[in-house]
Amino acid sequence: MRLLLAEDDRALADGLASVLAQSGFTVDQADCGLKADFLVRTESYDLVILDLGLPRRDGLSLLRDWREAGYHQPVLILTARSRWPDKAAGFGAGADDYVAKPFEPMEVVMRAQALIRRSRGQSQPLLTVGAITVDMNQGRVWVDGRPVTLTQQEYKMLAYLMLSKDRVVSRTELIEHVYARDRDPDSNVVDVLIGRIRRRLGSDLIETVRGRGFVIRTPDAA
Amino acid sequence: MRLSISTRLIGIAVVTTLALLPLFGYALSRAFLASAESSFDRQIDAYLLFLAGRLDSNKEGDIVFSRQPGDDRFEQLHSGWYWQLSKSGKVQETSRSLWDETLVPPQAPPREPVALRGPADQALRGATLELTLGGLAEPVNLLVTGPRQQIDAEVASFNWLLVRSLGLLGLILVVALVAQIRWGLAPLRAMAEGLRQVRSGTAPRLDVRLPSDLSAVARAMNEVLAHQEELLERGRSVAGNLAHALKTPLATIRMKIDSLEAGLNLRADVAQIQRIVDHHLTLAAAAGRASGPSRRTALGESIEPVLAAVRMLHADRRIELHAELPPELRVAVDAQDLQELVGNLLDNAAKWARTRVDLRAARRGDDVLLSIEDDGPGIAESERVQVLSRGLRLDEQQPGSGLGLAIVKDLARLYRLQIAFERAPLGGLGVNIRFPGELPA
Repeated sequence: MRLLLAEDDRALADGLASVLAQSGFTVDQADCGLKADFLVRTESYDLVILDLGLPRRDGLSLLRDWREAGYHQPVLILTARSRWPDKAAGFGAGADDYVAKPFEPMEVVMRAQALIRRSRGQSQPLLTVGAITVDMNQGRVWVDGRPVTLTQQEYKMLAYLMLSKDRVVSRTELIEHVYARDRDPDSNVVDVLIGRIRRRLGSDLIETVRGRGFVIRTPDAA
Repeated sequence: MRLSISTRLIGIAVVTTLALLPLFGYALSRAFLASAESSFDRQIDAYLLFLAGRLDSNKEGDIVFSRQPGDDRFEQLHSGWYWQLSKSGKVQETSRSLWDETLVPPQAPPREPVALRGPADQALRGATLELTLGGLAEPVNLLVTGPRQQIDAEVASFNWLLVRSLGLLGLILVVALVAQIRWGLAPLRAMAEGLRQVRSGTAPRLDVRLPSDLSAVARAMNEVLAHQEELLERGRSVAGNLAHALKTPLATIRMKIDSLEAGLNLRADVAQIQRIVDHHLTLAAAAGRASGPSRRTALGESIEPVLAAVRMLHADRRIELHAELPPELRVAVDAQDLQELVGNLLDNAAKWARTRVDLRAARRGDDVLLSIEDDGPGIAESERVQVLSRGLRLDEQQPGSGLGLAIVKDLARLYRLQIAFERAPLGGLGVNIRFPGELPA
């Protein structure tokens, strides 16, 4: 899962980014409103965590612009403004969730995961397709009830395909959602990772669609 | 004495009218009397000279009239119109109207009016003249009188007319003055009503469409109001900025202490700092608004966005949030403070609820009653009383900021709202807030 963390306080942003990364997110950071706007318009994120008090462009007006432009990915507001009038204004501008500072870092992680699940129409943290079950909160994977260990990158890729089940995901999209912006791996890396995941799961759940990408299909729909 | 201006003005007008009109009437009546008397006296004098001119003495030394005044009144018995001629104190001749009676000649300078009594104690007014006729050694004395009653009747009828017309004039004057004062002071009353509306929050500012002398006052008052709001706003934004500026480093600290060994204790400290910051932020934000001129806030319109926010925040838990907010209800609480109050209570209810939260508002006499109920575990009766006094203990058992009820308590105290906790019909906690209606004048 790739997310944008738009927060201008360096120490807070770095700390939260590392907590999010440990929980399996790929995190891009923006330290001002203009940069956040640019990244949201050019990159593809599964979630945006937005501070309202950003320099150069305030978060609320950014969010309004994005929603007007039809941007539909979930946005979590992270702000020092904890009063209800501010919360109401945040949701009114199109936010999906609101966390007030100071916060428990794990609470942000849980809410971020829940938002991404919800945006895919998936409200439970446990995702099961065929023999494979993924716990999106804890980053654990089971095959037929037997736990399987995956690397960070492998897990991210599997989780993304699981959330996008029954939809063909291109190599570019996978790279976008698994790697941070400043890393641009060869598209072969995707095939290598997919191969490793297939081996570890001992399952042919991930199909290759020639010329288009990969897909995980629910057994009924297959 | 704190009499109203209109009472004072009406008082002055009435007293002036009631004192001046009788005085004026008295003077007029005196003047009329003087004029009536002088016209009467001229008549007497004319008769006196007429009679004197026709007086002569014959060879025997008797006094005769060559002609008598051709006035019937001197012929009518006891008409009051008499003449009498006397010589050396002895009456020589009298008018027919005197018949066989005589008058006692008064001691008075000639041709000066004098009062005397006639037959049957009749009040008379007349004048005398002393003549020395040729051929007579002694002077003769001529007396002419008329009835005093004639003057009195004229004066009485004039006075009656005077009283009636002056009374009518006084009445018209008083009515006109009262009308003038009420109309003249109407803008002041309009301004007082405007101030009352500003205070109760139905109008943001005084209407300055007043007569020029008052509109300057209204404008000055509006400037004071605007200045006061500006000061409040400035203080509020300083407090707000300070509180918000503190929260980001606080969040960083909280993040860092997770990796420390003593982290657990420090987390409690950070939570304490956060509680203090939020408490003072709420007070700073609300204090000015609660004590300043209040606003009539539309209840439903203000709470709708909060409802949407609470629904989103608890979207994962599938809580049904029912709201019944009649759109016409208004309360004397600032919109933002109302949102803060209801937001915290709704959030709290949604945290504890199993499936359902109900929000209802209704009018109770002048007051507005707002109730929030959930179907959660509720609070034991013994603890209910202490919820607000102790503030947050119970509130801390759920994740989240743990500040909601403390802020509710602050706001309720500032706005003097009554908050009661009870067991809700749904099974959980029921919170009832009573918003007082009209402000005391």
